[in-house]
Amino acid sequence: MSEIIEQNKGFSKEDEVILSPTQQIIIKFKNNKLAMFGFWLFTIIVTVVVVTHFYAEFTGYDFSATDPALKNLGPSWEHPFGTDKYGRNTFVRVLEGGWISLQVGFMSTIMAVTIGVTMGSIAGYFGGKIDSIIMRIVEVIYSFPFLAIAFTISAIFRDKPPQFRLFVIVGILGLISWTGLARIVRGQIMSLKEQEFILATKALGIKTRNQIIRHLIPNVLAMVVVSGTLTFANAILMEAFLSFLNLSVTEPIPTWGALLSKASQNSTSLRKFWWIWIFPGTMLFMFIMSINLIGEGLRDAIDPKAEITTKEQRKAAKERRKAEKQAAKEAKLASKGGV
Amino acid sequence: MGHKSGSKTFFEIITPYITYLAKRLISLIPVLFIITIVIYTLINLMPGDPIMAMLDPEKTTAMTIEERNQYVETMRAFMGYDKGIVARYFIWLRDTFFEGEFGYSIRFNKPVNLIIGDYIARSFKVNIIGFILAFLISIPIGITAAVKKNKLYDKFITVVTIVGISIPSFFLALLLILLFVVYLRLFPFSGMSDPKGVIPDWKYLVLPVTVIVLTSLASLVRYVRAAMIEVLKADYIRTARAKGLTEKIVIYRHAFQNALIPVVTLIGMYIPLLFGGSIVVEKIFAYPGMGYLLNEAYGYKDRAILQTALLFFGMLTLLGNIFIDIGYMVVDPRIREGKVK
Repeated sequence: MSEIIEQNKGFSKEDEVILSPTQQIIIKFKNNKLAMFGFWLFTIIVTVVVVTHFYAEFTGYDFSATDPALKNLGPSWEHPFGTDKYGRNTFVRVLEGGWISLQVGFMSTIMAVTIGVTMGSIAGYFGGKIDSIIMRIVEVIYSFPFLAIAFTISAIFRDKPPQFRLFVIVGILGLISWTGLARIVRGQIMSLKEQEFILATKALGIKTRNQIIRHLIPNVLAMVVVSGTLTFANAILMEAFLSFLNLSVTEPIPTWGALLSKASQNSTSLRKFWWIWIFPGTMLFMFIMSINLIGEGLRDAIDPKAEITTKEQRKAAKERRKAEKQAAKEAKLASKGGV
Repeated sequence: MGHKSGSKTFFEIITPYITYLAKRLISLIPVLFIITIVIYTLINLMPGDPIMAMLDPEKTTAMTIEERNQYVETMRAFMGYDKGIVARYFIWLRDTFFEGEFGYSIRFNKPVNLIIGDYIARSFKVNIIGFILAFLISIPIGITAAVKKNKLYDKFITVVTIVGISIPSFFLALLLILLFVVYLRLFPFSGMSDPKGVIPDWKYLVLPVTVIVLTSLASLVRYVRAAMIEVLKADYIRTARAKGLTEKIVIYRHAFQNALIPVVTLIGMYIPLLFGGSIVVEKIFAYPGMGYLLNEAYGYKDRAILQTALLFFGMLTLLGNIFIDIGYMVVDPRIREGKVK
């Protein structure tokens, strides 16, 4: 007893910091410069896109309105991203394209995550026949080339109105991209359900549904979030691919992919009207990059093995290393001088 | 690879692979069956009458209505559309799997068998060059980044690869076109060969290959790096170092051989892409490979080509998965001897 007291000497209550896993994740994420850069980039893009969309909505901005007098103007203060061949303001169109991407990304990710987690946890928990049926479904969906199948389904609904096509795209992406997540969740749950705490829930007579929802799923949530971020980035990329092939939401509603595809017809329009495609392309690239950076940061942050270091600690460590180097150098010099 | 294999005959070594391969191929049959149903349903849901699409306007305008109807009926019978939708499915299955006939293309007015081979070959040509280059470049970069983990070099590689996985291939392709075609005038814009024969054929390959290399490079480097980092943490690496082996031998002999396992899965994942090509890249460069063919076929609602191409992609993915499993068996003795599932 006295030994423990001896050990804890000089250790006050304030030194004892207990961090919840979530707090640890937040600290680690905040310390990651790249992830924070991605986070701010993402926030800025989303804010600008959402604000522009609702501004356009409230002022009744007409995306199909054309003005021949303003045809093919380069970037200026009035039209920061220039105008297209119908005299439409590319700036507003690029940001509205972002709104489409956001919608598709969010909705299809929510759909994919819901299906993936449900299927994965059912397969992992029950095993046996149910598991093999679900895994067969996963295998079938997995063996289709993503783009080709999205292409086919989208072609079926080619003649439907744009608003309807938006939901078609969301449906396609949601229904195809849950398989990877289901595999991850299944694997995790298979190993978790053998642990003692699940045995305890069984002994306590907790319902199977609650065992899964309350006790198993919270344990895989962190991985789901990371995987969901990547699904989100992928959904946006896929939407851009489809709209580049004119198979997503169609005119007059602008999308990033469609804006790019117009310029790619020939080398003259590529050079002459560069503002038509450079801006949406850059936006798309930055948006996907910001999501990937966040995903990367989250992946590092949920890794329990990674150390939690505060800024002060890192600074101290850097100083210490510097001092060590300096000392080594001096020692070397001294030994040389001695010889 | 193990110590025992020296005394085994070739037949003894190869047997587990063959039994495994046979088992996997049999288990594929139900999956393949479902895939054909899905493809067939999707293709038949596409709007538009394929017979009307293949009518030659020059021929039909001169005809009377009766003649025209007659003509449409004969065409319908020729394409097999006089039978029911279910019957046609089974005819398609029989023709494809037992007779090797993939149907008649309305886009080219030729049997699909005669055209599809060339397109596959052209896609393969571009992609095999691209992937070999990408693997050759990414493996050393991935290893060095893993060895120098958290150093400046590694951080630089991390940033570059994140940029690489985030840039959409069509945007990258357009940027490359702007730089190399429009400004530097080094390469032709699109196509496969010069009708006048002035520009050599290889120049047409440079940009598509570059796009393939750059877009796959980033994810490859990340895979190799992650795999190496995982392996370098293992105890036997510490043992190898403690034994006094040089860093070179530790990394390239001991660590890399084990980091190969995830790399093998990557090769399996790339098999479908290798023959299938990329719809977007081939469209931009108007390079007549499988992706380009698929894109064309959608425009013409050419069901025979669509069915064949989708089935081809699906089968390639399944074979890629088998390749991954066999690869695991070859690389990892624990899996080979059935100790780990």
